[in-house]
Amino acid sequence: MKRYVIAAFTALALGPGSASAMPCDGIDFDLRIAVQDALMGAEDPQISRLAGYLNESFYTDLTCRLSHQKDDAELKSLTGDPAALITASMDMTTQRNQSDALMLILMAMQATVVEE
Amino acid sequence: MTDLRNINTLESLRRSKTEFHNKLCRASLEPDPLLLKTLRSENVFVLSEFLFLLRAFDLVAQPAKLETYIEAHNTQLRDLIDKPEKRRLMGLEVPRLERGLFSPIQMHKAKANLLSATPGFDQADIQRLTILLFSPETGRRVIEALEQAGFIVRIETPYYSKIIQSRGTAEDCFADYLDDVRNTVGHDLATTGVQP
Repeated sequence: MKRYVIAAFTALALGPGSASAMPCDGIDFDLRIAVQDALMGAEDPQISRLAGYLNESFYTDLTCRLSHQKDDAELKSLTGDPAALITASMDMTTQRNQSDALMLILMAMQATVVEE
Repeated sequence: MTDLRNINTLESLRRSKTEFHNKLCRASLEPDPLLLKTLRSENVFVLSEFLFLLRAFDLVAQPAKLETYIEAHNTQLRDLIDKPEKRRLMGLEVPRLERGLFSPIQMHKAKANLLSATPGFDQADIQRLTILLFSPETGRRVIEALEQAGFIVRIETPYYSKIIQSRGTAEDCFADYLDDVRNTVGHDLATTGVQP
C-alpha cells in the first residue's frame, strides 16, 4: 500500500498532468478543502503522513482534475474514502489507451453487418 | 530505407491528424480559445471517430441495427465485468461498466428515439455507448464542446432527456482524415520508391 500511495502522490506532484490544460481559475474551494481534509485526516497513517508533506498546489491540481472528471455523487463518495481518493488520483495520472476500447466498439458495430 | 519509409508513414499520420484538428477548429462556429483547445484534444478525436462509425454503419437511421449493436455492446460490458484481468488491463471498474449497460426499456427507448419527430440519440445513450472511452462526465463535456462548436444540436425533450443530432461536421472531418491517411501514406511510399 505504501508504495502505491507514494507512487500516486509522486505522479501527481511531479507529472505534467492534464490539469494545466484545464480551466481551473475558479476551482471549488470547499471541494479543495474536503479533498485535503480527507487525505490529511485519513485513518491510514501512510496516507495521512504523506498528505502532510504536500503543498497547496498539489491539492489545487488534484481538485481541478477531480472536478473535471467526476460528478457530484462521485466526489462526495471520494472525499469520504481516502483510499478511494488515492485510487482515483492514480487513474487520473494515467491516460487510458482508448484504442482497445475503440476496437471493441468497432467489433460491436461490425456485428450489425449482415453478410449477403 | 525501412526507417525512411517508417518516418514518412509516421509523418503522414501525424500530419493527417493535425489537419483533422485544424479542420475542426476552422469549422467551429465559436472562436473561443478554450473551445479550440478542447477541439484539439484526444477526446474530441475519439468521439469524432465514434460518431463517424455510427454513421458509417448506418446506426443512426436503422433501429433494428441499433438493437443489434446495443446487444453486442451489452455483451462486451458483461464480459468485461466477468473478467477482472481483462478489465484491469483496460483500466476499467465494475461500477463504471454497469453504468454503460442498457436495460431492455432503455434499448427500446433508444430505438424509438430514432423514429421520433426529432430523431437522434439520447445523450444518456451516447454516454452509455462510450462508457469504454470516457466516464459519463467526460463524455458530457466533450459533447458540450461539440455543441458549442456547432457540430451537434442537443434538443431537450419534455421527458428531461436531451436528444443529440449531429450535423455531420465531425464525421466529415474524420472521413477526410482517413482519406488523407490513405492518400498520403500511399503517396509517400510511391515517392520514396519503396514497395508497400
